[in-house]
Amino acid sequence: MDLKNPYAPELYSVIDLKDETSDVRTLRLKPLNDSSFQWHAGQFAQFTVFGTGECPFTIANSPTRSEYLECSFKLMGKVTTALREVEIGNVIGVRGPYGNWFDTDSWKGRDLYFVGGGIGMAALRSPLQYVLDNRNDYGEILILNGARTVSDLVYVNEMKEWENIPGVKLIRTVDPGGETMDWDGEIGLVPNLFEKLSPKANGSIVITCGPPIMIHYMLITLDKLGFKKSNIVTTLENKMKCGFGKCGRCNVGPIYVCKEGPVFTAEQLEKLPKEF
Amino acid sequence: MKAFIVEEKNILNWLSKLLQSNIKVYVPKNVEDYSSYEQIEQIEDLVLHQKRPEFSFKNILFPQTESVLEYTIEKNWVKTNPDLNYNSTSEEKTIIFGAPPCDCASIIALNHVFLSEPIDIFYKSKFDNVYIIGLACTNPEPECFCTSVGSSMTSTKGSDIFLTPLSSKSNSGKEYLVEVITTKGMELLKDYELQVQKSNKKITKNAIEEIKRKHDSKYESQILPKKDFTQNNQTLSENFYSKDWEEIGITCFGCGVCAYVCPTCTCYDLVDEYESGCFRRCKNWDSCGFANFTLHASGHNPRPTQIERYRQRILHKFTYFTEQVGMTMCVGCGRCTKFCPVHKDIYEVRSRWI
Repeated sequence: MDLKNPYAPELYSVIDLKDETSDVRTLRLKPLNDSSFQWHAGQFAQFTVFGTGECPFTIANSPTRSEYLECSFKLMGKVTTALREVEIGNVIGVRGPYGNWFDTDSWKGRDLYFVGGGIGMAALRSPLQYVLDNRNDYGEILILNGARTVSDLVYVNEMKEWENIPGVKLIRTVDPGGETMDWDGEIGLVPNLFEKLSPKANGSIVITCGPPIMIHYMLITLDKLGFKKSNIVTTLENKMKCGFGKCGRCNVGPIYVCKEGPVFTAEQLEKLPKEF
Repeated sequence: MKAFIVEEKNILNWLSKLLQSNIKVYVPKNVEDYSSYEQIEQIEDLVLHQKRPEFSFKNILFPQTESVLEYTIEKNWVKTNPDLNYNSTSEEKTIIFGAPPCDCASIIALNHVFLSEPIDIFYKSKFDNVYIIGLACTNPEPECFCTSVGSSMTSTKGSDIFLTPLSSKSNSGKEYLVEVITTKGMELLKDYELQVQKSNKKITKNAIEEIKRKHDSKYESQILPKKDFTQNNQTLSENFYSKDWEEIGITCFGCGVCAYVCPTCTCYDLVDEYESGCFRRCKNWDSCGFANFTLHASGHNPRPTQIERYRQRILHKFTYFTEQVGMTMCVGCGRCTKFCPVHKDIYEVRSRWI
């Protein structure tokens, strides 16, 4: 019987790296062997810094751009600290893809609101690239991106490119006090700003990811604006080790975030105990 | 599948043949100041009808720590040890003999976790070579409640072969009802012939049931009263926000002993570590009772106190798992109650929401 060791990563070479902010970095990776895998927008993978350990990150690029694999990570703990030391040409491990994904097919013909806060934008990048690469299948696209300060905004150059695509509107905002002298974006919290835009709830999809507090108020705002819970999509994160529903730590109620998630609709979230 | 009556001495002869043929045999055994499943070399080391050991045989299939990846780092290259791949022939045949029904039943829960996709090859290569010979329970402890989780002193769940002692009628020696439950059990009998009673009298289904009923009724009164913990899981999850959990969880130390002695607790950690020139990724036992089990790198903890952690333990065992698999992730062995330093009684807690 030919069974794979589910804990063993494939070897990937770092072919490029880019600092998004002072503590967020994006790595571009290429498999060393013919071991590249197919993924869907929204899935994640486990990234190994050999000698240190593993960390789960969302796959930050779209499957329509599968000649490489990207992840964006924020400097947080042991593994991300070690990952900061990794240079172009170094080898890291990747296993995956894990979890479910955004149901991009059901979004076809609809208007899409991508609402991301801080590093949460990383989870939106893959579906965003996907719909932009299939631009004609989707309606109007609004990207609302917030961060604490101007220097915490990620994917700044890409945002400029996305903004130039027809039917795409970009709004960026920073928390009050986080602006700079030359800041030309908005100042204010993401949910408040979203409400001011008076988005049309009917039939459009909201894809939102960000810190728990932002999601909390976003859901309240969306409810007020009349968005159907089944049209609100977000991604959860919980501490994970295995990535495939065995090790137990991402368990919330009857589901494992790594297996049944990380993508959930607000309708699904409502049924879960608040343990995320 | 198949059943017959066999004298005890014939069973022991059979086991001794197995012992001589390079098969590892583990039995419940007292070791110094504790008891667990220990390997024996000769039949004389076997003591039948012991109390259920303090540790289950979980560690034989799911070791407390196990290397699942080994690698060395060279310049811009990582070499992994290819030996750590699935190989069912690399593991030795192992018999777990004389396990009480509660421990045998744990196999079903363990299998559900480790043999579902993607298969945990480290568990599978061991499981494929493990034969479980259950023995009806004759030594229940005061914390036992197997009848409340759909099991009994003679339940064959999880066993490949199951033995029930008959109440002896004559002086000719003890006899056992031998039930062969799985094809694995059949294999074991075929390869190592068990000398069946001369008469080889056919035993009817009714007779089997009668033997087991008799046995069960003899010991039932020694364990906690039968309740139905397999049903009404909904009631438990509906009480997720009950104030009771505060009172229940507040005394929990978070020591994790409940998970370590539990035959069905499967949560584990993965840690990369270095030892003598080689890095290893270790799969270590873990517990939902530990504070850092769910602690995010950001400092956020979805289960911030022992109250939520203990609730998770109970709900996972009696609601979440039960909804998915149709059985409780608890075999009613009562070990967690026995070893809890604050005597948190899982039976009492579960009984609150029936």
